[in-house]
Amino acid sequence: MATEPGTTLRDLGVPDAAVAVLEALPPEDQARFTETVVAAVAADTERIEKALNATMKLVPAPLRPRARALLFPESDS
Amino acid sequence: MTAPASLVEVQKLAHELGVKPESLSYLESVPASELATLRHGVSRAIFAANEKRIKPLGALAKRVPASLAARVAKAALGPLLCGRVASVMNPKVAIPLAGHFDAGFLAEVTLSLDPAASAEIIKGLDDELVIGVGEQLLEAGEYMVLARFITVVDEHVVLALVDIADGAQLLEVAVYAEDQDRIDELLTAIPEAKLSDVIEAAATDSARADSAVSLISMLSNDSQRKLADIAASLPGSVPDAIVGAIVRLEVWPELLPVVGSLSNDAIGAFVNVPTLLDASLVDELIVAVRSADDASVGRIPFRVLLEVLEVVDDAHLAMLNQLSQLDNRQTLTWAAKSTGTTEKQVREAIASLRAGEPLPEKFRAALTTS
Repeated sequence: MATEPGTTLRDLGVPDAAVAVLEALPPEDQARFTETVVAAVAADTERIEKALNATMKLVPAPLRPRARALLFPESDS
Repeated sequence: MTAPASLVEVQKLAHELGVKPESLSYLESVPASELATLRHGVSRAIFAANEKRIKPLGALAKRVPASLAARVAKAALGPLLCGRVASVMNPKVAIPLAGHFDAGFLAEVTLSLDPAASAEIIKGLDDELVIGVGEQLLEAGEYMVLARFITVVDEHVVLALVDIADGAQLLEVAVYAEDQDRIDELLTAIPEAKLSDVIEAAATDSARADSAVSLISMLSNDSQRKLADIAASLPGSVPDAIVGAIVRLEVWPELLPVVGSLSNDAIGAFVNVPTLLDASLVDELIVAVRSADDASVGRIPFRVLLEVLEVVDDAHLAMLNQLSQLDNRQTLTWAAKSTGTTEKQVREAIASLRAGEPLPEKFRAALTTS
């Protein structure tokens, strides 16, 4: 079963007051808006990721492992 | 009818989401205050999504002197990450750091600053730097970002930016300002010549005219009156463009009460425009005014409408004879009630107006005592 738009937004950290505004809209508009927000968060994450990668390239080679651990902590695990 | 304030909010929300405002048109009927709540919430979520990645960088910046951190940040992080890092830092640390950036780089940084964090940082920067950043944002056409500055910086900083900006740029920034009360305050300090530039810029195309009328409809009555007086003093194409936008946005009920406080010359400048030669349109205007008054949306006594009709030129006088609403029973009943007269007296008054004659003395006397 598809996740409710309100639940998806809350999971993304959208506060309850803002979700309440959306929940007053017709279901198809709630779904459309939620898709737009999910896409915006994904696009922003991609931009951040790209910028962090560009930063990594500027770090001198000997320091890269430490820098990587700082900037990409999940890739260590 | 979509409220102009909601249209502006949809544009701001689209900006936060990186989409075109048209793609969010289904939100235009939502009240502006609710859209603002939605925008703040969504913006917070977008910024929060990567905060965990960004925070360690902010912690690093605290360990070295601000000047060194600024040099390294500019070279290695770039404006996007700098904006994000500054957004998660304590403003006490972020402000000295930002103070070491040049205006051009800092302008790019402000584009990725969390709006919720930007106020504290901008407030803490040197005036000269803020003005420099503002100038860069004006050049880049980043009016929504600059609009966030307007509500938080001192008046003399805003006025310095007003001096730099042209009329069209000022209009854009004012429309997107977070706090329209601040615009009301600033309007008392901005030179009239500059306000004339803004209004003239608004008349150059319909989208700008719509922006101007959206803005005017959100301002206080004093500001509305001031801007209306200035617009009335400009060449005829300007009042016509403004009236055209009022028609498109259907904000007659909101703006007509201000007409009652304008001089006859100013009223004439707005009434005797080509747009209002269309009798069916003026009939619609009368119905809108009557309905707003009936619904107590905004008290617009019939006398305001009379003041409008009293100053029409010959071309518009011919149009008065084509108005079916001036013979409509509902209109006559409303007019009599609104003016404290009888329907018969209202009919006689309308007949005088249509003949290009002054209102009957008896009717005028009744108006002044009602």
